[in-house]
Amino acid sequence: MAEMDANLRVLSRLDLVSMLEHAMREPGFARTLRGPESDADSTVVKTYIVEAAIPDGATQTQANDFALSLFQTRKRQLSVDATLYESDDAELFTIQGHSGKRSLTAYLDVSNPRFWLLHSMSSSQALGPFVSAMFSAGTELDRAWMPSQLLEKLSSIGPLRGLGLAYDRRVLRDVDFDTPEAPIEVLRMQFWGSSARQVLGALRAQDSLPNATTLSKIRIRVDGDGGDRSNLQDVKYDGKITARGGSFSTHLGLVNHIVDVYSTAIRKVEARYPLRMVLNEGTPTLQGEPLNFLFAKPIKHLDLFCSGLFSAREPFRLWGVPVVRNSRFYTVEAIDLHVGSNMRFELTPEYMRVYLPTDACGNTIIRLYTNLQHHYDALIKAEDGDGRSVFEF
Amino acid sequence: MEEASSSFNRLLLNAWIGMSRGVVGLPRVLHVFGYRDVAIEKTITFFTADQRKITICPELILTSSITHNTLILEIKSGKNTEADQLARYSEVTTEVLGRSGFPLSALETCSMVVNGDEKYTTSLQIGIDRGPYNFALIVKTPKGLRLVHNSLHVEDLNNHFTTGLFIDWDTVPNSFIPIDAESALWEVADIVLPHVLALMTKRIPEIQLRDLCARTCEASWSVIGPKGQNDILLKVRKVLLAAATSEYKPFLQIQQNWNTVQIHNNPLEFGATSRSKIFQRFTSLQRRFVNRLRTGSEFKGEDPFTIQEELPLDT
Repeated sequence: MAEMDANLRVLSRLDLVSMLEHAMREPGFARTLRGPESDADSTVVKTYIVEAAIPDGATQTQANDFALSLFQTRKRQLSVDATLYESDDAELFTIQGHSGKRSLTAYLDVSNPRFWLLHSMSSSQALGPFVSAMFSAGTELDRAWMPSQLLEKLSSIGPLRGLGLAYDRRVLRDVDFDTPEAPIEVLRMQFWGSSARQVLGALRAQDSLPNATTLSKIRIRVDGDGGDRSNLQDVKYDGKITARGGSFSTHLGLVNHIVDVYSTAIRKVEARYPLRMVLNEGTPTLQGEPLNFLFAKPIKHLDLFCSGLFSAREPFRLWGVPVVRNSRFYTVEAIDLHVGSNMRFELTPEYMRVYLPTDACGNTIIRLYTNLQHHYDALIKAEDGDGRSVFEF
Repeated sequence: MEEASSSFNRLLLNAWIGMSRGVVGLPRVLHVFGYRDVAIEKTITFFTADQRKITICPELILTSSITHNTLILEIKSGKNTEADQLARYSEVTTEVLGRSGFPLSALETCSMVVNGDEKYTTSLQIGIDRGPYNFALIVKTPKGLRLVHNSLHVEDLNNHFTTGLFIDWDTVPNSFIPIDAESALWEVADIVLPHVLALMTKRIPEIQLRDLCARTCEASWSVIGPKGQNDILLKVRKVLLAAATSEYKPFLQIQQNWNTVQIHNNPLEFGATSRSKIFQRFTSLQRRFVNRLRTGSEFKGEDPFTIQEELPLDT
């Protein structure tokens, strides 16, 4: 086994907090964490929220073992040149190695057995491919997907200092983009400055681009406890949170808050919607209900839409073979490749019903909803049978 | 135009459950009036004052604590009612339902509903009048559901059904009860094989047929009784046998006890790089298999070799 770089070793989660706190204030030390080939003295910390396909209520030991075995499997599958080191805290691991020619150091905190945190100061060029490979390798891990509504909710935590929009219809290509009446194909914008919110409002106006204006990132200023140590925090829709300057403690506080909000939404989906038969005073009773997804504009070609959605590819991670019941009604018995569970879809041009099984993972629905906002319709709604929004943050 | 479901009973059952749950694309009146499906094909046994044992097993029971009413639904796909069955239903009282566990808040009144096909209205009505019983007769028309004989206790609901509830039968939900004993084999294949593939993603080497049926019919398996379960089990076994001797032969095998599917070759055990490609191969495989069952065409025999070339089979 390769020796671990002693400079980067952390003994405990508390030790990790101290080290990253120090690194965010000392560019020289941060450079050590970023790697010798790093071309900039950056004090940026990146944190990914990772959702592990481990049952709610799993013990800490189970989560630790799961992380260890998963990394070994991934390493074999992906030929990742990285090693996982245990620490004195069983729920903290250090990952060291290389991603391409760049060195990589990251810290995996599994103290929340289901929602893990991966912290790193390594360059995006090293970290990005490693993280992408980790998520796409199997059914055990997924990102924390944040719909526009969640990002907007978080934008009220501090002054909004910028935002990003990302919309790419090419993933669900149900129209001919060469025709004059074709919708927006791709829209990507970033606005930095205090007036970002006004720009967002203008783009969402009815006569502008409401169907393609999907928030992908917000930048907020979060004041630190010391008064003068303010962080700029970028929160991205795929669960990546980046802290620029200021204090790691403040960053960690924000990350933990996002995990709380996100996990509450996930658990609400899991409690309310999966179809299951339960005994109600001795009478078997069907519980749960399908989720109703309502499209602002009808789907032009259901077959093309289904081909994209159920292709087993990122970002939807759904597989299924659509059955054409008639020209206006398709059904799909799908597999969610994140957890390997089945789910059922019924699609018409105007709406889509989604039926979750007993062992459904809430991540499935929030991933579907978030990515439909990014790849089909920014105005798509997800409602329950009473017409209430499924995702209220 | 082909309807969403091949079975009359299942089509209507899915429609009623969907309406009570506020499913998009269906009339909302039942949901708004607070009706919820509380029992699917539940057997209720009770004794009359003269000590006769009565057993009923309606397709669906819906209760509402808003209207304080319970609807007992008997679906009739055929031309005639059964005199003995209607006589048994006529013995049901709100007290019987209360003692059987149904919520007392929904038992001020109880309406028995026969739901049949519009083309059999006359004969169904004659059957009900032969009692005579006050059972409401609601029929499926090309445009929806309409009350054509007797009435429901809740006046507002009665008015809605008398006018007729518009239902687009082409888009009625299919997923509460996805298959039943009358389902075509292709419908069973469409539902069951993705469940097998899901288990393959979890690297599970063999599956009991009964467990597979329970997963597939999650919402109804525990309530459809031994006969209902056996009917579905036979269908699922037939489909898996067909799969294991044709398109899915390289991967599946039915064990000699006929109750276990063995996954003797699992390409999904491969690493990340090939997973989405493998699933894309399974797309064409599944489409071919389901279409073959749907059209009744023969398996041509050369497919497994093609598949072997397409999919990595040895780990």
